[in-house]
Amino acid sequence: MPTISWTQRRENGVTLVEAVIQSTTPTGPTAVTLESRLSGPVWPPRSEGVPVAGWDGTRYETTVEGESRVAVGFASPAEPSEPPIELVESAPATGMEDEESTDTDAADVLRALGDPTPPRGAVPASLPEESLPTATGEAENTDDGR
Amino acid sequence: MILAVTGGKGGVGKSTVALNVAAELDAVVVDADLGMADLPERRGPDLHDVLAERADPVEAVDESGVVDILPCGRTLVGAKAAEPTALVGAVEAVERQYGRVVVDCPAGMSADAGLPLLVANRCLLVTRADEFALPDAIRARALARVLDAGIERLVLNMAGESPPVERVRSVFDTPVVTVPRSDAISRAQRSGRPVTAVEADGRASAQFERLAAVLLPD
Repeated sequence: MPTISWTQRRENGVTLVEAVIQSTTPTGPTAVTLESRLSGPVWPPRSEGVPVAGWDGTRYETTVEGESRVAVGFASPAEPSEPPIELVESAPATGMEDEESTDTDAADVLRALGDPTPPRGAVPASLPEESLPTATGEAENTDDGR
Repeated sequence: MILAVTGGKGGVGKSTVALNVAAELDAVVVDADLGMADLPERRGPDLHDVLAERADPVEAVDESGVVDILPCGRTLVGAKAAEPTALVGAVEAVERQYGRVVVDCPAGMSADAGLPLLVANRCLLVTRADEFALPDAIRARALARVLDAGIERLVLNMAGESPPVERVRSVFDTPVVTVPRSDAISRAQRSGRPVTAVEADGRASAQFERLAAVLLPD
């Protein structure tokens, strides 16, 4: 079972948690699952606005190679509590999981290339949500000036 | 079959090639340029609605024209509400219903250019033979390779009298098909139709037939 060490601090109303998972096996990767113990939502690190791979709600899955370590961090609006993060699962990583992790999915593309949707500031704010074009084309009849 | 039509630079004729190849293949063409759509608008739901879960992808396919098309909305509000990653499921749903799908990619290297290449098994790389378009086509080729969309042909579009086919072929290491600069193509595109609907026996039509034959052996 890998070991976990952590630190946490409170800054501007946000709790910042850092953890290091150290492998205890000499060889072979270990799949580990960590879970936040803070009583609030997890704000995972993001790349181009998309949570980095491995995060699912309050849980984070990663792989630790033999005799090495990995670091993980997250933020939360919740108050610090001890421990802020725990190792909940650990098992030797199988080849299957390795293969899965090399498969590119749509979120990977978004993370790597950036979200193409226009910035909020570029979108006219006066248009209420209801005036969005709908499947039936009703928006054409609204009097929003278009 | 899901075929992406990409190229990196804007204005090289991706939408023209997508529409014409879709016509030859009897495929649905999806206008995936979420920010600056080029293919004709049609009445009814569009891709923005589909990606915002306001419309079903198959029901958004418009069959009223010469080519079946899943059009894209023109508004910033629609583009903002669209979830880009939903394109993958939407295109796959259209493929299940219609069999053949051609996805017209936007210019650039953002995720909206990448996602069609992710869902496509094959692609056409469209470029012009000029100093601006070719470097962008090289970048688009790199993206297609990373995302595993096999490059079937490089389409040298708006080709003049003696296009540098051999040089382009050797740089890209991909077979080249040229499409001539043609009034017929421009006229057809303006009315949202493939060139075969305007000038069925012209050279441009013949080249799109060649492309389709490459994509559909037998």
